[in-house]
Amino acid sequence: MSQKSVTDMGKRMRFRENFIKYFSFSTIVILIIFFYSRHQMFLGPANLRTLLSDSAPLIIMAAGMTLVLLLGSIDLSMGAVCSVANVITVQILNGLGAQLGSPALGSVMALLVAVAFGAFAGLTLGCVHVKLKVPSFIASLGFMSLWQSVAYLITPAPVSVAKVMWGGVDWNKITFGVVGLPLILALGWVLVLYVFQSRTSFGRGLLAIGGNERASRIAGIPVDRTKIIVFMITGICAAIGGYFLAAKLRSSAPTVGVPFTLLIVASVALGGTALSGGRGSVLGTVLGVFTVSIIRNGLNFMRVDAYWQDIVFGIFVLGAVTISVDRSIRGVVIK
Amino acid sequence: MAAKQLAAMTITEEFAARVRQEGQRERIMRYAPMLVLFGMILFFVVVCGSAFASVSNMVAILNQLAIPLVVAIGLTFVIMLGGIDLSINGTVGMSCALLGVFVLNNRLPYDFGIFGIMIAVGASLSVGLLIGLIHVYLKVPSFLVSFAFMYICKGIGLLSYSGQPPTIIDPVLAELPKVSFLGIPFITWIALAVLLVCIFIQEYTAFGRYIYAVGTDETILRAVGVSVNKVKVMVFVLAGICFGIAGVLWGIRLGMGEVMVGDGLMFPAQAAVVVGGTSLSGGKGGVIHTIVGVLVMTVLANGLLLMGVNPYIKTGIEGLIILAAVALTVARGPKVISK
Repeated sequence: MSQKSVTDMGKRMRFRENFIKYFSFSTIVILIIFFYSRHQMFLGPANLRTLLSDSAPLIIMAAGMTLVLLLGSIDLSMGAVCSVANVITVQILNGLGAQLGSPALGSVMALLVAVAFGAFAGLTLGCVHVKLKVPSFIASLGFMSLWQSVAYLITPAPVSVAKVMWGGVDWNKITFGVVGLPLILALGWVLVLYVFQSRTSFGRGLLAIGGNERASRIAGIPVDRTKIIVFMITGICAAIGGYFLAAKLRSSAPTVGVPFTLLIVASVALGGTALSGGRGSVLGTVLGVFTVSIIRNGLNFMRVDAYWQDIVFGIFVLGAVTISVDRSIRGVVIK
Repeated sequence: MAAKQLAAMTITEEFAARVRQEGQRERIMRYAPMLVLFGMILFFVVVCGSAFASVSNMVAILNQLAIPLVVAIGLTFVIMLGGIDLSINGTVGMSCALLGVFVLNNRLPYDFGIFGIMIAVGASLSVGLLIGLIHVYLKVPSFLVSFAFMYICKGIGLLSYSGQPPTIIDPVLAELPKVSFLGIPFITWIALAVLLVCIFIQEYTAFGRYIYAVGTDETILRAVGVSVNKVKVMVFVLAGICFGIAGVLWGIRLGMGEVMVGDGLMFPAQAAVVVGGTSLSGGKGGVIHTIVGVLVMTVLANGLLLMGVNPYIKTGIEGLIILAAVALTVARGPKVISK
């Protein structure tokens, strides 16, 4: 009798663990059929190309956020870091690229500086969180405010990429059929992170810390170092996202990353990563990103007021988080 | 026997010494915000001179103080619980937008007069209620629930007037910003009234004492038989009311229903609460501490403006202040796990 209930519980747990992923997948299928039935053009090559290439920056950033959430922490500063990287990219491309006389070289330099900045932002956030024991959401909130102001200080208004420098961002326009180069690069990056997460001792340690930090510490996993490295990877992901956005929009804006904060959290939550840590994977996040992208694209396609998007994704975050929260342990104080 | 007594003495002495040490630290923590405030005022008086230390600027500070004060008071109760409310941007904006929509305005045909104000505050109240219920009964961390509601509320606010903010043409509401009593603007009086009510709730009601107790250790309170869940939900409702009132005040001051008014409010409010000495781990601080915190943030913003500092630096400084204040007050030790 009791044994049966235990296996039942196991089944239910497993079902719940995968429920969000099934939900995301079926949402994708249902939405595609729905939008396709309303507008045949939805699956036309033009819209498909937009849909797929638009999701590239979000995939990269959400993959980074997944690692942080696996720890059970959160990084709300990603949007702001992305904005700063975006602004830096265009500034360097327009300034240094013109001096060097080569758009490609300028673009590479811009990427390097943006990534260096992302790593620095992640390092400082990680150190403040780990060494000073400031909860990650409030630490990242402080940094969000800080980096947002830095982005405004670099350029208060949107700046376009100079026309002679378009060679440095035109890689973004390369497509193979309906699949663009940005999406291939983004998926490649996700694959790297996936191998990193699932096939290295670092990645296993990461999951262990998310599951039970105290036990991992006793088991000899370098908890502090792992956490800081994860925040650095996340910062780098945010920076690459900013670089991709600069290439996509051929311009920079100090607020470009602002809407991404919600979209990133929504994607990761819809990808089946538990926000309490320890469960989930980068690959699930890709599924979540496509759910988010299809909803966004479809709503635009149907000419639904853009204001609905915030409401829809806000409710999705709430729903996905509510389902994935572990309520089985009694007596745990949730704040 | 004597040795035993000696040991006992040393233990009591040790205990007394530790209590004294903690009391001292608490005193320093209590007076540190005041010192920061006075240091800042002194600095700005020296740097800006009469531009800062004039009667008109004092009135301006009182005027700027009103809305952040109401927001920060609402947030204080939530932080005293050990939770947090990130929905401020959305709820204040939504309340302001709904006020614009539901009183006499130039775009939409609704005119509910005083009920328009009630709708605005009521919407914000129900968001607070929802945040509390989801947080308490579905056990989702409060920062995540409120984070999601920030966007939901913004969306509702924007939808309510579909893009173009309505201008309030209600004769009474349009006159209110110009009214002042004893040289202090009407909006500030409302803020002070909210402050008094909240001080009363915190100091003289059982509910107020429960908030401290929940923040310190809710398991004890649960064991004693207090309905902890109800206290928590009520706190989020109270915060929702405060944010709603702040939104209405913004609408009256601006003469418009505009969602974006909420955007600059969250960071100063968080910074004000933690600078005032309300610890994020809960159970410490209170509304009176927050007054000092709000004064610090308002004087800082005002002084920076008078010095002609680039306004974008302000947000960065707010971020640094939040980081520093939280890092100073957060609970630390080998057993603490921060996520």
